[in-house]
Amino acid sequence: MIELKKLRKSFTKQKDVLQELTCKIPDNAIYGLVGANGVGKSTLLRIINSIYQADSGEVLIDGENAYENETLKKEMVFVPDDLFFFSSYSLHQMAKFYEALYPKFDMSLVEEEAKTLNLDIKQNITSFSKGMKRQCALLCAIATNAKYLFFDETFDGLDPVIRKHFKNLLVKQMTKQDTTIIMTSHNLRELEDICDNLGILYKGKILFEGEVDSLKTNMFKVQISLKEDFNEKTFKGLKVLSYKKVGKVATLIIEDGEKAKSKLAKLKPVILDYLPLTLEEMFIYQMEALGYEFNEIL
Amino acid sequence: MNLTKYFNFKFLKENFKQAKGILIFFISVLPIITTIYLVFILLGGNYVIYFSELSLISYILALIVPFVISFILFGFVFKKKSVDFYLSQPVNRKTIFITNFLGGIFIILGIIALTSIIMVIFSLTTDLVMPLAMILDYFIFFVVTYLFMFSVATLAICLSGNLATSLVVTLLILCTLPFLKFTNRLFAQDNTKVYAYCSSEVCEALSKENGSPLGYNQIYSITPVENYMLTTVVSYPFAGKYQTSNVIYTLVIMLIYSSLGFVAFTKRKMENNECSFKNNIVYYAVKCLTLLPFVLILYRIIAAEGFGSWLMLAFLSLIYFFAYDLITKKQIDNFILNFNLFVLSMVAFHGVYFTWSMISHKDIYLKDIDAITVDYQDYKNLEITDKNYIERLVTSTIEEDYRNSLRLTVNVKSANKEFVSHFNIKDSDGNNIIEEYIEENNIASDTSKLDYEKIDIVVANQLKTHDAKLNKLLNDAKNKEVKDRGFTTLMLYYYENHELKEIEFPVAKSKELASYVSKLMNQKFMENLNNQIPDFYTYATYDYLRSLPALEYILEKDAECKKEVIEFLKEHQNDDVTDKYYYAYIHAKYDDMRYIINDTEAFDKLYQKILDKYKDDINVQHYLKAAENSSVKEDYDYQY
Repeated sequence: MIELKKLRKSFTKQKDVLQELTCKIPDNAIYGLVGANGVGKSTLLRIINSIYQADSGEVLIDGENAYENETLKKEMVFVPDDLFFFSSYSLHQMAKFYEALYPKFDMSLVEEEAKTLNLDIKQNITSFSKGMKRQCALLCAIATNAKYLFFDETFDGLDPVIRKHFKNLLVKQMTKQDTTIIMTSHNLRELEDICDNLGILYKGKILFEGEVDSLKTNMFKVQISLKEDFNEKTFKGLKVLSYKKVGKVATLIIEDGEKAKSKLAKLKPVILDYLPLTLEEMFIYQMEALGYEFNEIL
Repeated sequence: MNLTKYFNFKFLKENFKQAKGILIFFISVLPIITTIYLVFILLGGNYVIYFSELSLISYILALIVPFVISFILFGFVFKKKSVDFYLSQPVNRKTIFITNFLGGIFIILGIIALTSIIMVIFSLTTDLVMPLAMILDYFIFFVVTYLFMFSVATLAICLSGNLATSLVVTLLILCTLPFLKFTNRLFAQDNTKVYAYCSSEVCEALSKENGSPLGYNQIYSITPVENYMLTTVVSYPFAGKYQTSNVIYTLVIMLIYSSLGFVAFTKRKMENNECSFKNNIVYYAVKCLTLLPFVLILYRIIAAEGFGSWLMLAFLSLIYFFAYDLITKKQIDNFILNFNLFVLSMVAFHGVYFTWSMISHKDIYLKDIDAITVDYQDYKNLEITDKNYIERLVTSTIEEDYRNSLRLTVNVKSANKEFVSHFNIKDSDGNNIIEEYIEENNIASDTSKLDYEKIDIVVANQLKTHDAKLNKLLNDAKNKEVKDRGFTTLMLYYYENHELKEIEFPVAKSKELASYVSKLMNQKFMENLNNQIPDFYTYATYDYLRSLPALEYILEKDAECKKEVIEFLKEHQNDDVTDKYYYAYIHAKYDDMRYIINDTEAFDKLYQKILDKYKDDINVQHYLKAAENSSVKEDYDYQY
């Protein structure tokens, strides 16, 4: 498990990028870290990977301090937003570099996947397109078989087909061994179909986090109309995150799951429609409930 | 600290692999240029190489190669994406630093070892005079120098945010210690003179002649910036030659800088890259500090005396001040702050400069001079401590023209005045004084004091050898006097106290020696003769110098005569030396080689026989007549 304890980091005296950030990331999960540009997502990943040193606080991985911990680093791999390759190196040469440093590196995976993805393993990476470069970096990272994978703006530059392929590859990797993946994005939609957990980073802190599945089962949108006149108080006892009434029909966002459904049925509504919620909508309503405008967060 | 725990060979191997092209280039540049340099020395016909000459290329490259190696290994800290890549690998910072630093040391050892091996090959296979002990000194000296420069460059890179800044910081670190050591010289004005104070009539006359203050003989003028620059940039931390104390001192400083580099790297805020310094105060402090050497150099170049040249200096300094921003930050920000800082720096510089100028003026009195040393014929580093002789030398006529002068070295050692300087006096004056001093003090010459067993190399007319028997013959003959040096003079080279020393030794001191050298030279001549036709000269005692072009002419056209002459040379190559001898020359390699014909009677007979055969040849007659007209009679008083 990754445990971040009161992490603080500032680049200027005026502003802390991370403000006593505390968070727990469970094992064998894909954790999506979402936040606007410049909010500190990359900084957080760099601190976890010992690239930057936190001004205070600590990163614990499996109970051990992760900073400059070489044993732990063998189980960690980081793919940054801005990719680096040795000049005039091919994918094969880059993979060889990783193979020299990661004991569990799987060269056959690189070779097979390169074939599937139509990547020439012997070609100079600098001649590749942005998306192909990202594919190379992701392949090398996955092939390390490290326990912890960190991806910054993971699917940036990948087309939907390749994106889907890599999502499957990551899921496959997770099922193969207990892998924990932390990926960042400024786009919630990009992560919603792959992440188990999501956290929203805002003003140097995790503003909100939760399991995607429980969010999806617990939260729903309902359109309701009753015979008698009604208002928000009618739904007292339910955890209503949002209430809007137009004419005789009200639209509610409710978080209580199955319990709420039976309570609503007891009101004998004239209209009762349950509508699906996107992850983005769930977050919007959660944020609004906390008093934030979603647009200023993402 | 257990170094093996922090050394990751796989990481180093991969690191070398990814930079192999540039590494191979920089590993081979010194050996290749050194090879070319040595070939040029050979082609120039100059066979003796002193340590400073041997080191010339290595000195220049010492400023470039270690920095490049350091940049290859540690330059990743300047780019955010390379920082992300390297530091996210399963290797921690301590391991990265130690692995890369040791890698740099291996490369430097390889470069210097390769260059030294090339020197050894040249020393053993060519006529270049390079004792192996000198090459060993070269190896130690430059391994330490390159490691020192490497540690400075690494420290600078670990402290800086981009390449341009790291270059500036490298120079600043390099300047720091010499700056502290040579502050006094650094701030001395150009017109600061050192005078030997004396009160004799000679002094008065001389001071008028030299334009010096009455009663003083100017013997030394300081050129501070040149000294400073040379010491700082080229030879720091050495004084231009191998000195064990300096090597140890440098090694210690290198270890300190390496440790500081280690701390700077492991504690470095890796987010500080792609800019000069994150901290503006540090940035401006470094910038103002770099202004100091820049202004000092300008002072020297444009000799700021009048207001016009001062304005020029101020203007150029201002350009430098802003150009610094452009180089390190690619922009000029805060013009007003920059300008104010510039003015402040200039005021501070001039304040310090003039204060130091006033207090650094040196006056030395005659009584302060401890010793004067001079190289005089067979007396190398002859030290004169007698006050009377010192006064006579100091008050001699100063002679600027080195061809007619004797170079004296003045050693001043007293409470606040300790320095060494040089001045030249008229050789006619100096020779008399020194001859008198030698005679009065009964000083033995170097040749008579030396133990000839330790001679490394003997050179005489393209003969370069190291021969125990020859050394013994030299030792036996060392105390023999010879009035005329005639025949051949040997140059003896030996490496002592990290210095290549040379002694001239007349072969004529002993007949055994002359015979032995003659045989060695003849053997070498025959080995190199091949199908060439030698030039023949007679050049001997009681005889006269004449060339034998007629013989050459005949040998060129008559193969039988040529064979006969060569057979003669073969038969007579081991003849004992006689008072009368001829020379034969061949043009071999880069210079002439010499054969000594000792049995002149037999040769004359052969020569006459050949001439008789061609007595009717018009060309032969012409050559004989021309040779007779041009011959020069030279008398020798030559005896063993």
